[in-house]
Amino acid sequence: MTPDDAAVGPRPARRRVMLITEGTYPYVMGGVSTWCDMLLTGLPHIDWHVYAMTAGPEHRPSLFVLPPNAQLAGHVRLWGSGHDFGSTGTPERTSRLRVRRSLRLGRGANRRVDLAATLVEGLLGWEGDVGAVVDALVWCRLHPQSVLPVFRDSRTWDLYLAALNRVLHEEHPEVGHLPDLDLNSAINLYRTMSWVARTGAAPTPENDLSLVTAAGWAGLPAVVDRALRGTPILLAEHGLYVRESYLASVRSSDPLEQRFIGTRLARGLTRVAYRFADVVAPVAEANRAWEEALGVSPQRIRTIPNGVPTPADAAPPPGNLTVVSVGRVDPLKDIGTMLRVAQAVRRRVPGATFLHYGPFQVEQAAYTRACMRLHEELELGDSFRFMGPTSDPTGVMRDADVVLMTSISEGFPMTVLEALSQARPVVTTLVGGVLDAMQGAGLTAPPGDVYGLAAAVTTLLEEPELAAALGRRGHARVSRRFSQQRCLDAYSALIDQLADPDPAKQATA
Amino acid sequence: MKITTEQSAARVQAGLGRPPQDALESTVMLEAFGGLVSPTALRMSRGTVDRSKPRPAAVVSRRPLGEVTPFSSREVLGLVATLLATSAWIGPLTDALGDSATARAWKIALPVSLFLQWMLRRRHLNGPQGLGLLRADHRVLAMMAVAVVAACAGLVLQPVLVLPAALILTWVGGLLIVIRGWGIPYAACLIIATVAIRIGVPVVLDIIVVVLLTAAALGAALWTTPATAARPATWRRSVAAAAVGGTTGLLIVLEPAAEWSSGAPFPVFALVPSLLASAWAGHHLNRIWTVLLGALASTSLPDRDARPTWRVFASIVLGAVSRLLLGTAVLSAVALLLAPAGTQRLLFQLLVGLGAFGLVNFIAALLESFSRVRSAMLVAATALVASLGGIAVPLAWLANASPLVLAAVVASLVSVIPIIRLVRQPDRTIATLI
Repeated sequence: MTPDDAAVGPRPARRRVMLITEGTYPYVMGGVSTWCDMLLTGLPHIDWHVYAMTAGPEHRPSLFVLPPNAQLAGHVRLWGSGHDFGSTGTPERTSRLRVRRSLRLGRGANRRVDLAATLVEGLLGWEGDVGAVVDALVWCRLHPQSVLPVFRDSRTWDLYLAALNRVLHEEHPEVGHLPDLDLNSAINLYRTMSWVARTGAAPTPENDLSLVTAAGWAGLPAVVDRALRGTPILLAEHGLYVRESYLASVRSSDPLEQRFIGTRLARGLTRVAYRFADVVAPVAEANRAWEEALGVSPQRIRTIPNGVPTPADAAPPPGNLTVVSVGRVDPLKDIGTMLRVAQAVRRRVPGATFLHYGPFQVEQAAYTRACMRLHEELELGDSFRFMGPTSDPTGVMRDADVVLMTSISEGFPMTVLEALSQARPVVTTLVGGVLDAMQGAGLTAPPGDVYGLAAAVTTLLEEPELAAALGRRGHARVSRRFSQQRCLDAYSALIDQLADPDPAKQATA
Repeated sequence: MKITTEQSAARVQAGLGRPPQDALESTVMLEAFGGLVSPTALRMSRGTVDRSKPRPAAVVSRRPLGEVTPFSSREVLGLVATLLATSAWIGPLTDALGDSATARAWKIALPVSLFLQWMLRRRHLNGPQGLGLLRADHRVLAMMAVAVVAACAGLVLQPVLVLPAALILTWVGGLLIVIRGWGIPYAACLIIATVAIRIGVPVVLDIIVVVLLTAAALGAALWTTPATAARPATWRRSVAAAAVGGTTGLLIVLEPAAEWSSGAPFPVFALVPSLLASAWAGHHLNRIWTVLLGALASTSLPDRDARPTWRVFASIVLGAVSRLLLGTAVLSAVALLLAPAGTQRLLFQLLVGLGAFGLVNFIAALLESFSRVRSAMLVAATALVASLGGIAVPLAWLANASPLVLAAVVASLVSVIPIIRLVRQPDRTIATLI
């Protein structure tokens, strides 16, 4: 013990926080993953258990090195084949006694044939009972080996079909006519419900807090832990899961019934997460309206904007008419608009070069192919280059004269903050918390407005003094309001408060 | 600028080309494509939903699920190739090791091979990942490596005892090599090994070379297949499937007409018609994943009772059984025509018996592949009991026919109810196949 330690007295016990990710950290590069990495390395006094969810059975290498205070506590591969219920996590033994309603469910529990019906009605129904969904998931956690046998039971299928019919004929002023589902879609949805159940059944380690990074599948283990062990939930929202699902749906060419299933399931998962999260922490005030509309009381919402490290002095722009964009190749990033903007800009500034950094995703292979076809059709050639993923996003910002973002949905984009931290002006669509981030430090246009965005980029390329002035304002704004330390302090305080809500206990610890 | 509810509704409908599914769909349209901020879009969207508008037309999707086939013709063809090749060893083996050792080796190897093949098929090969799952299953790989080393060492030291292991390795390894897509070169190697025996290479040495070759080819097949992180089927489920396969294997070796020593090529050749017919029937069953799923995708939930899809399923199963019986009969007739004079009577008995075995095997495999493990086990077990009963107490009406015929009759009767339950509601059958 050092003298300093003696002076401050005994250290409080280290917090154990489970960070639950979905399709991001540590297997996929992106804004949310960068945020997770910042949190894990920036809060070393916390023992982090990373619980990752990815889609598909294939093995994915970790793209991040976990810091010493973090360990991978679980990896659920949704839509993989098979599931191991016993290799990680804490068995639920004493907790059986704690949860009265689970005891009620536990009677004759080996055949809970209403499981799929409860899940489909609770998640897809407009006013589905999310409490019943959590009860069902608790049962799954307590009887993990019974989950698949229950789904193989023909009675489960019969009850599920009846429940699905009720959902499809639900009367509500906010619900229009729904498409008739065919039997094949019903079968696929039944399998999806089995994955919901399997996700609820997967074991988790004991923790003081669950930090959920998206109000989707990632919320399921957390709500079960809350019901069984009383583990509080902090839901940190970047983009709005349900909004992004609806956006993807309206832009998709999938059959109506598939779009219905995808959006309703996202809404159901979000309602579950919102209902049981102790605090919802959006990265932007812009998310608040949706959160309140879906049932989060204003008292439970605490906005914590993202933060980035900010150098005291930023390097000057290269002045070679380079436009940089960063983001995975995904419909939400609207790469098609970006390509069209590039074509429009080059009509007026023929020397402009566009560099796009970001990974191609296996799940978006069709979209990637469509982007490549469009790139070819627009004859952009080397003037628009897909550079692949980058591990140094601020470094690539330094190589830019202008930073471009064409997303149709964002939370509080790290890309914009990173650009501003390097004193680069930003041209972006006006979505999510973009305006909060870059007020007065860039130019905006509505989503999909090719000519608005192109005019803004052209202006900044042709008027470097204006671009430099906007960059300086952005740098000052980020230094003042969006420093990384400020962001970390806010999370640290919130975690402390939620993990140990009794102030007296906190003081004596 | 203010926007009225009617204008919002018109904007949403124009953007979507149809009425919105619900208020949230309207919200994102108004927000992302209408320029409204979230609070306004959320408020306005309520008025855009109109249930009086017509229900959106159902889209008929005929895309089947990415499913595995319950039968793989490649497996059957692989078994046929390796069986035929190894049958050529019988004569020289009998000369080298004696009648009883050779007969014992075959009687052990056939059911054990079927046991292992069914187990591997259920645990690893019953999915798109196939060999990738086996590649990732280190415990099974270690067991296979030990078996290869032990078989080679045993063949050198005590060939009589280890001959069954060599046959098992060849048949099971051959199956995996065929699945990898290397069936033709592997079969060619086996033919060369057979020719080598004919030109004087000692049979034990030849078998050691074949075992090593099979092990090397198997190793290469696994090495060149990327490992899959997915979890294989449970041991419990795999062993249950294997028990069904092993039981059907016992039916063959209990057939009294089969002579497993110097006359051994007969039972092997007599198996070929039913195996090839099984491949044809299995190929027909693949329609479950195209025709039947197409029918399910074309049937909306409200039409579920009005458009019974069980007829499609039943016709596919009946079509498969018809192909099995027809194929077995035709190929058996050809075999009888080609058989040397004086052997037709014995061959006829064998063809009928092993044809009956083919039917039992097909029914058991059909039920097992749709996770009706208990029914499959019941079919296999009753067939075995009937066969043993037929051997112990010959029935007058069976005359000189094989007890396997009695086994097939009993198994068919026992399987009627499980098969009716299987095909009665295809949506339920496929949905619960998790």
